[in-house]
Amino acid sequence: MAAVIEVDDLTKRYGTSRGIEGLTFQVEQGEVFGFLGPNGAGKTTTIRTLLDLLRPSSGTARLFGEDSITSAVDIRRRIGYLPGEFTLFPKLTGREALQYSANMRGGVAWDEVESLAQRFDCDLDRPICKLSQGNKKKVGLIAAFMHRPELVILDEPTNGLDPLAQQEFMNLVRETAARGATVFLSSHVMPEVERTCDRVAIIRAGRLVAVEQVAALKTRATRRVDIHYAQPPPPGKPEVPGVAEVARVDALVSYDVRGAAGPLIEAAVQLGGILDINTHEPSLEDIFLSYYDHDASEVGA
Amino acid sequence: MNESRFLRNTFTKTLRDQKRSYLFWAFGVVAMTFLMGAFWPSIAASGEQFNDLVDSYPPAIAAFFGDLADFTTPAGYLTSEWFAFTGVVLLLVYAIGKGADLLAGDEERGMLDVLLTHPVARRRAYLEMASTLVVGTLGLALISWLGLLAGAVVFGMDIGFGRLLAGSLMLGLLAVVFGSVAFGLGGLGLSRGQAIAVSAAYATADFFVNALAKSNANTAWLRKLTMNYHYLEGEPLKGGFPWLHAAILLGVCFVLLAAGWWRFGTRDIGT
Repeated sequence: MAAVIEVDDLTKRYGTSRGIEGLTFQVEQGEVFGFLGPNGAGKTTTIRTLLDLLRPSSGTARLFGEDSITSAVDIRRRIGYLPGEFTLFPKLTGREALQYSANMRGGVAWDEVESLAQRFDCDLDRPICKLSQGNKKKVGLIAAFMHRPELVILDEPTNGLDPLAQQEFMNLVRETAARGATVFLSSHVMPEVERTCDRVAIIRAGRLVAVEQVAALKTRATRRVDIHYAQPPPPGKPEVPGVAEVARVDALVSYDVRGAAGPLIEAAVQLGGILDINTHEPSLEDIFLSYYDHDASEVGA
Repeated sequence: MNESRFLRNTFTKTLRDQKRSYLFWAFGVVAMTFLMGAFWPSIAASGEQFNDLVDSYPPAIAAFFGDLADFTTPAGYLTSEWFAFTGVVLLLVYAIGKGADLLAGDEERGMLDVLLTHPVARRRAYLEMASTLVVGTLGLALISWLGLLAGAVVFGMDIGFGRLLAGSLMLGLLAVVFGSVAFGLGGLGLSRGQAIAVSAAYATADFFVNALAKSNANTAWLRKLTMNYHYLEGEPLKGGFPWLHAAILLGVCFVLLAAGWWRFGTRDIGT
């Protein structure tokens, strides 16, 4: 399979704000690739460099095998993009903005726009500036997908979307990958990436921490699980590998769980019944730490 | 779907964006120019008194009002009242504001990001936006011409249509020059506010250098470096179009826009 995005030692420093430093990774055709990192890690800077809005300080980015600077216009023709902050042209209605966008691209089947609008239950007749955050995002998503691009770049796509639209978005991403197109999406929340992506690059403070299969990432992630027992379990029980007790108040016990939660639940049931379970999203910080610990232990060995 | 024709490209879309503010400007300019005509009968009637008053001004003051020697002729009156002052202020406020807003303003609002993620070359987008500045400013100059014309006809001012047109076009060119300063600065990467501040300061300095240098033979050569000099020195209201001065203004405008155009093709957007 051909690499749709090849980023080689890409560095962007500007002003006093942090840029990106020596990024190298590849995204293959047909992949759904996640770009995960906390706010300010350099995700948007990377995306804006891929789109030739920023010029790299050093290193190169190639899309469809072509240089991001010299072939910028051709590349943009083949890309759909959803910006993180801005959505199209605020003074226009959704329909007008999409029409303008389609006119600049050429060859957009308007049926596709209508069908996407229907899928996302998106009102195209109101000025974009009057729309809620979520509805603005929907117009942006239509603009990113309407020309059936070979590569879709999405900056924090589900930020502000209601759960129904999020579900529809995931379906759309899957369909897009199924027709052979590539999806590159950035996010600062782990579950979004878990649900949609095949592979993930993790970025922190402008540097790449890791590039992993999502499945591998999951086994590293540490989640907090609170179990409310029918009666307080004996101290130190249950004993399950990868599980550490971190707090207990009477019958309410909190654990850090690395990997699958099944063994803990089974052991907890053995201990005399569960009233309630509450699991929390794994924090990105924990995942970063797991990589740093890993690196440290390797160096130590 | 009449509106949708304006969504064809950046040029027409940018024109469309200005629709409402442009109506406002057109109305203001017509009102002001028509008023110029409305005051004419009383000026003409006062005749010599005005000239006496004007003669009593110190030369340095008089220089600010253009050629005051013939204040009671239509050409002299319109030059002092409209072409050398009110018209310049109005048209320059429009052109500088628009020039800074079109590119630098869109960049601040993130709209440039959105535009330039489409298959549109940067420098092409720059040219299309710059064209709307030129068209809009010259259009406003033509509208001011119509207002002056209406005032002249209604209030019996004896001045040729062609001369008014020549003056209005030169005024339009002057405004395009300073609008191009603002637009070009946006191309270089200055913010909207910075672009307005620098262009307004430049326009003011240009005006004063031209006016002050006039009263001193030793500094008179300085005037040739100012845009305001080339604007009225050819006396467009007294017949004939000052092609050379117009060409100089156009040339300056071209250089300013080209500088921004060049830089805009290579710099970072929206940082």
